[in-house]
Amino acid sequence: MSSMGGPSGRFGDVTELWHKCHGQIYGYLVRVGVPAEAAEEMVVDAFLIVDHRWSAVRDYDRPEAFVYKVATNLKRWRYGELAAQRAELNLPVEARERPDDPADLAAMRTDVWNAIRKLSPRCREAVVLRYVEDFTVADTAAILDVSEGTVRSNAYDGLRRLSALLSAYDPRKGDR
Amino acid sequence: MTTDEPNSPSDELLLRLLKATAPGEAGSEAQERRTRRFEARLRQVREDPSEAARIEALAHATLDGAHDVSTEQVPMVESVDHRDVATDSVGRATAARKRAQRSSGSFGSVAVIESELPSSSGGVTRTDDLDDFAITIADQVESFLVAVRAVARGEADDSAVSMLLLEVSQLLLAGGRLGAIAEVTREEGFEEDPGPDPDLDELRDQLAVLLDPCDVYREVFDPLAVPTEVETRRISDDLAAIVAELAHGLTHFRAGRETEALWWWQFSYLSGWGPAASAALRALHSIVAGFRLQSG
Repeated sequence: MSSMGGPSGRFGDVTELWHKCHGQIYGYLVRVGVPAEAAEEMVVDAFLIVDHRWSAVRDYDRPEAFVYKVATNLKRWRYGELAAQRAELNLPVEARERPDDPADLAAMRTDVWNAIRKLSPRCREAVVLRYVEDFTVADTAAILDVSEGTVRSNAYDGLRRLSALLSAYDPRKGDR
Repeated sequence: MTTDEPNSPSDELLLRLLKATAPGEAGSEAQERRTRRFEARLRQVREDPSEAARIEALAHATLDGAHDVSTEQVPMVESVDHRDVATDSVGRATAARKRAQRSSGSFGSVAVIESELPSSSGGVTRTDDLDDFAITIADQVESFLVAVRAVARGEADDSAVSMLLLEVSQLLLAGGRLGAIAEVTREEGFEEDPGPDPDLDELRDQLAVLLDPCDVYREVFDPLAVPTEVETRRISDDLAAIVAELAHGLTHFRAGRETEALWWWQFSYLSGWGPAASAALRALHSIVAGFRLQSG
């Protein structure tokens, strides 16, 4: 949590923080395997918890990172690791082909996020936070409540697995 | 030292692919709808003390580690030796007894529970189907009681949770049989007093210590009810309650009242130990699955 601390006061109240990042938090939950409908509810609960702790959160250097932590814990608490694993079976609507996608992006979107869902929940969280949400190793460790070494290890393992699963998209393999 | 930085053109390409295809926000309409929902809920929490209390409990559970079970915290989930999980022809759990044979402790001793029960007086002499069935159930009940007692005493070492998962699963097979057969009718029409039930506080406390911090879990009270009601339970409470009800039936069985025992086991499976075992099984499964999937 230390990397989220420090005086800031950038946000007057939780509503301001909401407007800044509720869409990001929703997207993150969907990316790590929470079904869209449940993610909607979870985002609201995450911010209500943040509001409950607002006297401390308002002074954090990066309160947005704290919301990610709350959302991650809520996801684990509500769904457990098993449910997160089971979410592999249901690709969220947002990750499926869209009618307005360029032709080559449509199938790619489905392939990539199907591959993401084949990662273990811990690897999936680390990969999404590090490489999609662009958090540093330190922030990712604080959000996931693990050591920085664990983040590096899980992110590295996830990347290697994804690389194998998506090798068809590597132009050096020459078949796509 | 492992680095998670992309270190090849393929990695760079992969990361670009991840970002380009990331699912996210559905659109401004969805955002506005969510914002309206959030503002309404925020008002509700600020005006309704019961809603505020719910959020406070949620914050405590998710942020203060009250129920935050990380891999490092999960106790006793080492796997059970595959030779221990074999079942015999009637599906009896043999794990406890096999372990007992290989250890010097009293793991497999039936005396563990006999000391808490009135002395056995009647042998099973009738050979009709129902009595055979009662013997099978009694054997499964006995295996469960022996195993849970031994696990509570710490005799399962690092496999305690895995062992409990196995034993509860085996027990639910017996429960399934009781639930599937026609209703057992009592011979007397009333229950003969089997004497005092055993004091299970010590067992409950031992299990609570053993299972900490995974003891507390949440369960839907009635999965078919709308709206659903989530309740907080303890695996240790569930196991102690199951043991109490099973031991009560075993007292009848040991006294030669096989039909009474069967009636009790069937009735309490439907009303008491069945739901408790089902709930505990789900929690135990979640612990074991979570540990294995995280460490795998």
